[in-house]
Amino acid sequence: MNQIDRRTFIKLLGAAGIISSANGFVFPGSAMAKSKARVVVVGGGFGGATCANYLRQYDSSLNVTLIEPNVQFITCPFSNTVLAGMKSINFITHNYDGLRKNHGVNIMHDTVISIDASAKKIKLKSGKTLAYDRLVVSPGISFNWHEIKGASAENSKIMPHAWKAGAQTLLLRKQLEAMKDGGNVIIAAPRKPFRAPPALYERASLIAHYLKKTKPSSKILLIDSSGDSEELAMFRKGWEKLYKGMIEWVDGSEQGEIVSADTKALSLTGRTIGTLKGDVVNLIPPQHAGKIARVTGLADESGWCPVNPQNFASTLQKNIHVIGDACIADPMQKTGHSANTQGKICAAAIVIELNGGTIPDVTYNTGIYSLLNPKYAFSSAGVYRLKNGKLKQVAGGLSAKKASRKTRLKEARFASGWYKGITMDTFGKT
Amino acid sequence: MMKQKKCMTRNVSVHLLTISAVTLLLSINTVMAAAPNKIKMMADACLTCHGPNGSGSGKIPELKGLEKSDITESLFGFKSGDEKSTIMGRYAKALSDDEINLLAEYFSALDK
Ligand SMILES: Cc1cc2nc3c(=O)[nH]c(=O)nc-3n(C[C@H](O)[C@H](O)[C@H](O)COP(=O)(O)OP(=O)(O)OC[C@H]3O[C@@H](n4cnc5c(N)ncnc54)[C@H](O)[C@@H]3O)c2cc1C
Repeated sequence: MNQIDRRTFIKLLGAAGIISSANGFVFPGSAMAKSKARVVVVGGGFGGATCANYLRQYDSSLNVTLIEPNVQFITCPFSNTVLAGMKSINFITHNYDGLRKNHGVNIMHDTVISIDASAKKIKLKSGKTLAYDRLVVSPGISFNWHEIKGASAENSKIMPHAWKAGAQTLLLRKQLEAMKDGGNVIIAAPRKPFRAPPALYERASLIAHYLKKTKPSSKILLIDSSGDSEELAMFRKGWEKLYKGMIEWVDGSEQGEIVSADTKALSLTGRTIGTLKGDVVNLIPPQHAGKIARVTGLADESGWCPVNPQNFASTLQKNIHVIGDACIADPMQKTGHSANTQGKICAAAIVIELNGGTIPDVTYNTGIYSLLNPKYAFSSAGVYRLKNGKLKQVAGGLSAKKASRKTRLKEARFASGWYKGITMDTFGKT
Repeated sequence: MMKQKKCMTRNVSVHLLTISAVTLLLSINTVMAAAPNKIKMMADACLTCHGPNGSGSGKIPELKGLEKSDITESLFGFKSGDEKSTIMGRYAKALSDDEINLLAEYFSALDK
């Protein structure tokens, strides 16, 4: 293209029916030409990336900017397969090219440090200020370190959480690889609400899968503050079959959660469970909404953000929507699938509100596949609808309790299909 | 001589550009904006698993361009439980008969 200047290029595109604008391409046949509003989306994870993508799909006249500090996004979904050595970190790494090139989303690699809701402006770490008509906030979670004595971001280099994927995932994998046969792995979970509770049982399963092959005398101690559940019962049945005697489940409910961590002794102490020592300690701390949501008055005293589930508008700040793990959308679980669903519904609601119209009654779908090994999986699905302003479950549930090996294998294959589908859908790949 | 060569290069580039502009137009067509309404929103919910455009994703089947009657038969079957499934029964039970018909119409109208 070195022989042709930008103007000629634009003219050619114009001839082909494509009009260029300063903010990227405006798609032909703009769907809802009225709005031309500026929507800024904070956080390029499952909620934010989906929302930015669908805002542009639903209204090509919108100027949509996605702000995300990282050039690549490493997904928590399937990160347990990286811990087990089944997949490489590359498999769970994605970029923003699809959103930029296929959907005309402006991507800014930066961090939002403050939001001025009355002036409708945000400040970025780079010093820039950005104005918006609507702001969508999807910052995921942050950790509430101070609830556990001895726990901190620094100490997570010794006791990794691996509950945000990336360096932490690789660190825990390295520790598992270095552990001797006969070692003890402790996985300690926080009390609810936290990100993706079923992923905890998947983690215990896939670590057991790795240990069974390479260090079969090792054990896993799972400290679980959520107590018993139908879902746990299904996992325990699977563990009995696949990993007999390897995974010990410790009931950490009823005040049993971890209160202190000793990184020198590699031990954890809980009120009712005493002190437990491990060779590898995966300490997953209590969680709340991502910091930016909490410091800008979007979260209530629970640490999470109340929203109107019809459009995910904050009930605390005007013209701001909160989606994904950070928002309170009970009874939807905090999962990538939920965040993706909320991203789409929030995008549609914003477009409808900007152009005039009513938000239709639709289903809110979510689901999560859990792998017990590469050929054995089951799923939990949930479908919700709005009833009197609240989300009510209308369908869903767990896979059949009794199923053939073939059915579990089928679900393991569907888990891979789900991963491919949601990452393409979220990150705008075609 | 030099001049002529430059001119030729330019012509080739222009051709290439026209082609890439057309390709761009075609690829943009696949993600062309469409206003959100009930059925568009509900169809988009399927794409989380079934992939962009309902093209299918790994072992998860394709939806686009299927016969309308095949889609309605499957979905009504999943809903009643007459058709066996691992997960679709748990989703289809949430759909009204009208929604099933509209979803079938939507996906059958997409080009294969
Ligand atoms: C081990 C594990 C396995 C999981 N498996 C599954 C699964 O199988 N299926 C499933 O559905 N879910 C799964 N989940 C849950 C899923 O990862 C989360 O629910 C999902 O990531 C939530 O999306 P989100 O958009 O709220 O947050 P995230 O996806 O975490 O995205 C938040 C983004 O915001 C950015 N950000 C934060 N603050 C700022 C700021 N101030 N400025 C700019 N950007 C900012 C961050 O960099 C990040 O990229 C799993 C989770 C874990 C831990």
